Amino acid sequence: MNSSLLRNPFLIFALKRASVMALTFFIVLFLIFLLPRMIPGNPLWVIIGNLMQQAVTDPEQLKGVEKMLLESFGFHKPLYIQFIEFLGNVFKGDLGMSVLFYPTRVTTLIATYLPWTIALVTPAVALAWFVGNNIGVMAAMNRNRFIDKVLLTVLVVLQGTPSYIFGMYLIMLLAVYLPVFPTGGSYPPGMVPRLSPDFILAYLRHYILPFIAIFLTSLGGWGLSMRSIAVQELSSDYMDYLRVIGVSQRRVSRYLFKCSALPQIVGLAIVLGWSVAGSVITEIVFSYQGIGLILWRGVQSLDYPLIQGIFIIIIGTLLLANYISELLFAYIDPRIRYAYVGR
Amino acid sequence: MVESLILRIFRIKKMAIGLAIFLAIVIIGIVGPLIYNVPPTKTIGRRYTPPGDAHPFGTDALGRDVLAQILWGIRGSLYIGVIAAGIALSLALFLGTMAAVFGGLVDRIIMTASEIMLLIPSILLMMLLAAYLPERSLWIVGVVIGVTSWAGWCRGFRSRTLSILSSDFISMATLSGASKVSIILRDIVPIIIPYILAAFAMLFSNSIMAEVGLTLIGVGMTKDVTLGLMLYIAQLYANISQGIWWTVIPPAIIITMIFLSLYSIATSIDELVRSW
Repeated sequence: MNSSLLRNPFLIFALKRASVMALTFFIVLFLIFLLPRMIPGNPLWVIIGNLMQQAVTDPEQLKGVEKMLLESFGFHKPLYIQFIEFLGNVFKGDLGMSVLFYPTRVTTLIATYLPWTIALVTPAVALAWFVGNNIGVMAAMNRNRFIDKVLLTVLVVLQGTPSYIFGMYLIMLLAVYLPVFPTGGSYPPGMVPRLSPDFILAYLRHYILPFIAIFLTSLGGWGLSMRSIAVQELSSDYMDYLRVIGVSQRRVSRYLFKCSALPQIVGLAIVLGWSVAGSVITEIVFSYQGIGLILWRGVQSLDYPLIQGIFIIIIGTLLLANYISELLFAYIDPRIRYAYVGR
Repeated sequence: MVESLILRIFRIKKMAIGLAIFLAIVIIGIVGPLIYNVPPTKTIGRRYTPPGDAHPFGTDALGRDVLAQILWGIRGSLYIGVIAAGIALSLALFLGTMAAVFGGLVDRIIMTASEIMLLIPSILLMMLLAAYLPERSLWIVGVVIGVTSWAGWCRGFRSRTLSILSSDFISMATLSGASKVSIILRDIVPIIIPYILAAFAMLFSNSIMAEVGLTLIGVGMTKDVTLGLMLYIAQLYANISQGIWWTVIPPAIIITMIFLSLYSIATSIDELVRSW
């Protein structure tokens, strides 16, 4: 019983991948821990000087920040004890207090702003996945014809233009010259977020432009990868067979979509994990109040606890999404798991 | 030889157009600052002068000449591309071929390292590094981008090398006593040169994009003028929502042009080699 469990290729695969993920997460934590401690001089003074420059003159806050930083960084203790304490805090879910928003906890800030990012990115990426894959199949079905060349060019241009540059064009066009949409923000300044029809309507008006920007860039990538997968798939034997028995084009393209979508499904898991990291600059351009904007403000004022906390969360979700997508792939495709066990 | 190469390039339309656009941008970056002799970082007029006779592309939020900034910005961005792509390509080529040729423990270590690098988003690593370096020049940003973007291509070089290693002429070389390093340099590298060129082109454009991204977040360039820094200043002073297009549109279009030209070069190198 025991030995058969140990030979289960799926289990071995899952364990091996989990150890690589854990190692990566550990290295990331170590880097995050090490960097503020490598800077010459006392980085805490830089932070406090920075706060004073930003006209935070409330002496109570400055004193509180100083005490909090000294305690949370614990510079007077030996380095290895500092690291153990740091790891302990991370696994307890304690990411410290923000300097900029003292005395708010970093975890509270992340919990407040992360839903805004997810609400923006997830629907945009999901829609781009669906539309992009269909365009990819369409291009592959018509490969080397005029329509394919046009689609290919459009997809390459879309993929090559980062979403924040689309964002800039969109703001200029649809918010400045044709003032249809607001130039930025997540909702009108005077409003308080709540679930009322007029708030949701106002939110949607702010939502559309960043949504389009992320959607368009993402669309290019999905379309291009789907096209190349589908073109390969088209040269396989079963596709020849379908053509020989005279199946209609519509049905061929439906089969083609299903057979080529597998790697794309796995890719979707990875991209959704990435999306929090990927939307940072788009959020800055639209001053959309998600995790990216808050990270930007943290970077601008050297808020180490906040930067650290957001990094840990982003990389954690990313590794998890990667791991899930690998398990998914191995579950669907036996070749993957056997490759890890040997014969 | 050279003449036939040029002829072949012209026969592939995609490559000819890509190469022409890219060379034009490079020439503007090299010659432009020499001809248009206006300092890019000095205030020389009123802020936000629209494009006109005195300033062909207008002035920015600090009253600096936008055309001079574009010319120097192209030069700066190209520097970043050369530095970062040079470092990343050397690392990827060295580690990838070593992993394939030596195998065993070396292979395992390099593969694990590259896997970890792939999993950690390089933009986060760059942010982390840059957040702790207060003043950042072309060199710092270029090196940071280069050191964090080799992993994907390293795996590519490894698998290309592995597929060559099983050929007969490699066995011949081994039998005749050639060392592993000589096999890499004399047998493998010449075969994968097209792939190396394509990798360089893609790394080059990705590095330029990465610089723009980093600088927009506020952890990239602080010292030298690049296309990213222009967009950063425009973003910082809310030029976009004020409708001051001349500080935003030109650098944005040039960034897209650099990507598109290098992309079409990289994807048509294969075609060029096959036409031989």
